[in-house]
Amino acid sequence: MPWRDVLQMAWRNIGQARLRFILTCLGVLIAISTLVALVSFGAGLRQQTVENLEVREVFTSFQILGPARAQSFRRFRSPGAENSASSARPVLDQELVGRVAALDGVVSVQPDIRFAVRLENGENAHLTRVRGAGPHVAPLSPYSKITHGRFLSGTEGAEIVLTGRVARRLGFEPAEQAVGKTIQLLTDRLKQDVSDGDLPFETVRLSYQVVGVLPRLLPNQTNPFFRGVVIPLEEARRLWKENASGMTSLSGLSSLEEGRGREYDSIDVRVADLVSLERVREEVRSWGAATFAIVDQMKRIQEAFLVLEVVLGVLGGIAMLVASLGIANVLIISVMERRQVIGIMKAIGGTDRDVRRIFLAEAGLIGFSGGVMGLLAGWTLTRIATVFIDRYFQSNNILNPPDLFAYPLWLVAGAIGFAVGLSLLSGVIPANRASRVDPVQALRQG
Amino acid sequence: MESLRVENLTKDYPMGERVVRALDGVSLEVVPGEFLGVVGRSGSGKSTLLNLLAGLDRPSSGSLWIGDRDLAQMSPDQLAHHRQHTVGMVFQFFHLVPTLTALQNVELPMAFTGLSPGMRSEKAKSLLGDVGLSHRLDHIPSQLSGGEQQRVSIARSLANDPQFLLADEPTGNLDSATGKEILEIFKQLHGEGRTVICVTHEQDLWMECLDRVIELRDGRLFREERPGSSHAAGNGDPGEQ
Repeated sequence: MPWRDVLQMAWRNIGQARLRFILTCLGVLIAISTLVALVSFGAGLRQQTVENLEVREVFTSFQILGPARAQSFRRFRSPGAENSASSARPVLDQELVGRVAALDGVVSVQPDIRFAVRLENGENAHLTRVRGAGPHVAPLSPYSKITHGRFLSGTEGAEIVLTGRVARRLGFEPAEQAVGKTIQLLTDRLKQDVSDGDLPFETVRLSYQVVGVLPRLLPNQTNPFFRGVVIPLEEARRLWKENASGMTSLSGLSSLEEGRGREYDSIDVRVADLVSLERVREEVRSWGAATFAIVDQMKRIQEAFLVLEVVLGVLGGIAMLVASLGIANVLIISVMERRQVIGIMKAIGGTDRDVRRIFLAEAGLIGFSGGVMGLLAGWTLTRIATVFIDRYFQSNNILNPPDLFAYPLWLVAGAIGFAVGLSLLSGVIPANRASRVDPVQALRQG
Repeated sequence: MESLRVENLTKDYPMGERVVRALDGVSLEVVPGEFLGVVGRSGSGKSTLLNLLAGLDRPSSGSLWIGDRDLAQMSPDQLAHHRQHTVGMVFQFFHLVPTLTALQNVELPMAFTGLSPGMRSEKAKSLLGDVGLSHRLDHIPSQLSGGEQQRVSIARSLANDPQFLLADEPTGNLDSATGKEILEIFKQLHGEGRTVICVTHEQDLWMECLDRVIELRDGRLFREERPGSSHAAGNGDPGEQ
């Protein structure tokens, strides 16, 4: 009997016991929707993480660490930072920046410049850290997401971009009111002339125009190396050179006093691709410098998500296992009820294989229908959940909340395939029973 | 056209610790185009013989030849092929698939052979027309009378043009007027050259069209008679019937 006729006959048989079919499908629907919702949550988290890391260019960037940063990374057992203790390590200065920039495959090299400042707006004041930023961070989150005002126009000039929180601390309510206003920036500078008993620092006061205010974003939506209040790069470098507030070691302070200039905490290096990343990083490490790249952690992140997805999948799979027992039960009852029809089919030329196929097709159709409906139900459920999650984030002033559920093609195909596969498996025993029905006995009983 | 030859056919059924012998060394030959009646009391082995001829059951011993093929040696698939193409069955209780229409019931044996939907629909309509049911194509069995159901059953048995028509009490569940209508159809089919083997209790009704009658008793061939001739042969007293 051709498959087309087998399917037609199976569909007709299912139609004869509609309520039973609907209830059995409902079991599959619940199982698949649970499985889909759980696995799509795991896939969503993975996608969010990987996409964010991609957006944040972490796959093509690494950091050269100064002694203080290398020590803090070692505390977290970062394998990439292990060779930092070398006494022959290079000093993180402009010369090193130039050396790295000359390497093949390097796109940009920028020292991480940040220091503590006091910002003032009339009566309101706030202590924070500012960073220097060049135009190359403009397309990166969070600077790409500025909703009020704009990003810095260049590497020079008295411009500043605030975060919403800092703007509010400075008395701008709502925060976007800060755009266009001038605020004061106070920072310490090493005195040129220090007389006995005086502190070696003096405070300088500078005026900056607020050109933009950053939206509030989730931590994973921002670049780990660039966030917070920023001023133009060269402006920052000038102030930073004379500023000792961020000094973390006596050697650093003494080098400053001796006029050798200040060593950067770290240098951010961007390369063209993943292959260049390994090559350039290896070269820099051969100079004795410690480096750190998030790509080192990627394997562990992927493994963690795989475990999460497997656990969620197993939970959904248990539900499907229960549903498949329901299918087997329904089909076994169906075989008992339809013994006479099976006998008739065999008496008029149906083979054991034909009978087996009809019952397997019924199991497959139940699985397919339940699988498709379960997929739709799971998708609807997660969409509804997303609406509530979005509302929650928005009520907390978080723009562009992440989509926590993902539906990659493998999940869609896998969910339906899993439902059909397990249903077919649960149909094997009933189908074999049906194929073994003795037509003589079946016809006599009828 | 092939003849049917049964040699020393035996069929045992295990009943717990006991073995019941339903057929006991039956031998007979049916020539092409013959109309054979099989009579006997309940439990005499008539239906068992028919099931063995149809390939629905296997003999315990003996052989059953259609032409040069021994049914006793056939695989399950070969037996299914035999039921598809060589024999057509008509039952006392019609045995139509209750969820299918008359047309779909007649199409079913052709579906098993893989005939295209268009061709089998055309043929099924023609067969139902031949038994006078053109107006009942889309009715399911429960919407048909007993006689109509039996006509559908006959049409279905002819779906794949079998040489042998095996009927098990085809009028046993019908009133006498309807029984006669069914008899007429069988006469017509026999007239077209088909070999018909009919198990019946109603020997008087069928006598006019039978070429030969055999009587089974306790699983054995007890008597053989050719209606219209005074000759009767067998192990028992012909006057008993």
